[in-house]
Amino acid sequence: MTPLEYAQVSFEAVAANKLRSTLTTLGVAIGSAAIILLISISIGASREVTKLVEGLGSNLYLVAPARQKGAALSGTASISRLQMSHAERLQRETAFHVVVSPVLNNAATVRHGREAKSGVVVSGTLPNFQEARNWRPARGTYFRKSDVDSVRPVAVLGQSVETALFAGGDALGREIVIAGEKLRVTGVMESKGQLFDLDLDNQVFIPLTMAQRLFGTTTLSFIFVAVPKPDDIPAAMAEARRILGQTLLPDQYNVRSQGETLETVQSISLIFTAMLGSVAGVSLLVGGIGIMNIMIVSVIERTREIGLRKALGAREPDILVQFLSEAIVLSFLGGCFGTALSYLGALVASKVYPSFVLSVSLTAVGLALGFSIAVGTFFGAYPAYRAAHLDPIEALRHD
Amino acid sequence: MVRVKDLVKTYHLEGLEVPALRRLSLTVEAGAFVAIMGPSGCGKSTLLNLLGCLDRPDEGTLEIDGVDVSRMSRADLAHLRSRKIGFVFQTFHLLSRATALSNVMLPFVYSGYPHDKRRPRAEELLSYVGLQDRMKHRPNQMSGGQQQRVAIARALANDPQILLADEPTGNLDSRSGLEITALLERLNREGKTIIMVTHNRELAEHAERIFHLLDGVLIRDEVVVARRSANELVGAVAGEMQP
Repeated sequence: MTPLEYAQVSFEAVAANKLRSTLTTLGVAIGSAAIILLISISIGASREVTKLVEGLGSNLYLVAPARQKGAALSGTASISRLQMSHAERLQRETAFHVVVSPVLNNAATVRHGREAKSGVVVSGTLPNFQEARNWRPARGTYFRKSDVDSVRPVAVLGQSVETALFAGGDALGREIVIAGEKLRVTGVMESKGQLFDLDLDNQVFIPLTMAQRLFGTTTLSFIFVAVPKPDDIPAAMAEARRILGQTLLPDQYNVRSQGETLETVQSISLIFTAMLGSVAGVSLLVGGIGIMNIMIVSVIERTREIGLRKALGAREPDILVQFLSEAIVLSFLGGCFGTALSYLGALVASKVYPSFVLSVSLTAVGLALGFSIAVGTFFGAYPAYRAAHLDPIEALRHD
Repeated sequence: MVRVKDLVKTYHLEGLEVPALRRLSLTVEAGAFVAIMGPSGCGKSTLLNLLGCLDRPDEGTLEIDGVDVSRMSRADLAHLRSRKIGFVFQTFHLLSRATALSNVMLPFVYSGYPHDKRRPRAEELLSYVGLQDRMKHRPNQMSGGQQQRVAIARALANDPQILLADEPTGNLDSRSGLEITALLERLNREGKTIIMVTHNRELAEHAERIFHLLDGVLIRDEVVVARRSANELVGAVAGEMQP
């Protein structure tokens, strides 16, 4: 028998029981779809993360309040002990040519006339924030050191905030209100896009001193430190720990590079990956058992056919391959349904979360189809072995 | 030629030894038409299975065309079945999903018959058994007699020397039975060796010899004196049916 003949005979057998075959393939279909989505999401996530790291700059590290274990996931806020004095010491005592950019962040509602946008991240910064983050206004200007020193009511908007409050118009020179304070818009930042559901353009930048006044605090949310060369980061971070260690306890601060910050994001996507991974594994297992079950039924139903084929000259390997290829055809069809399902899933996901670009990876499709063939081979082996070793005389007598 | 010598086959059922064949010997000349008769349990089915290379004897030899097949591997026996032996069963054993044509083409799969010649050969065989206008029919669209003709065409697919028929008319009405018998007679005249197992004395009398088996041994080798001819009988039946 040629492979083509095996395939043809198998397809005929599968097509002879359409409903049963379709139901049998469902488990493998779901498993394959889960595999495809899982890999596509991981690929998508790591691409987003890489994009973000590149966007932030690879020459950046961060001083932040110490974080309790799991705080990033539970959303528990840490109390900051960071003060302007720490930023100043970092700048003063370093051996590197660094840019130290202290930041005070707070969520607030931003208004313009009757428009309001809540949940905007209001960042109090110094002008050097632009250098540290390599992020500058697309239009207008950032505020200057003199604006910070004299606590001037000025603001630079992220693009999402401008869009929300000025409905397509130009915000430059107009006024916004934050916590009852009127601020004049001097610039609009370049768009940074989105990271998963997080809109990086949903920010307003104001002088650090103004932020301290508005939010009634002198502590800093964190301090960005940009180092000239990425290679210097480990040494610069060690130095920062030494400097800060003089005035802060080890559990009051945390020095980490951007890569480490992003591990949080990745840990979330890891949980998702693990979840989908288990779904994929369980579905493939159950699907495989389903195929095994239906193949055993099929072997019993077709005992006389097997006896006849043997009488007509079929050898044991002929029968083995025939039933094995039937199992593989079943689970491969499941893999194909799964591929279709995953495209559907990606389509639905992109409607529900427009910000998250989920493109089905062809590598993932190939892998899932490979898995489905492996499942068919593994779970089809025993029924096929049983069929091949039937005694032709007994089989012909079977009714 | 088929030569059986001192054939022994014993079945083991739940610890019990059940002798099916006990030193059975017989010879069927090439081109002969023989019947094997005997009551249930006499060993005729066991003999047929051994002759058909579906099983191997415990002792003794079985020669087909001068080759001892009694110690061959299962794979070699399968090869032999596809080349030298055609089976005709009481219950036809056609694939119900497949057309007459596909059923006749089934043996080609295992004999490696050239692909381009399979269909013409199957059509030729179906015409030979008188089913040229039933090629695309499935078994459930055909009468018992027609189904058995398809089965005979299938048995002839690889042009085997020997046809083994197990109660070939057992599931047919008398007229279809006669037609099938006539077909077997015709195949015999054209050179096939036919070995037929039956309970039916009348059917057995179409053969030139009848081997009578009892308890696993040959008790009588009868040469049929007044041989029946199905052709004439079909004519007679047809004549009776004339108004």
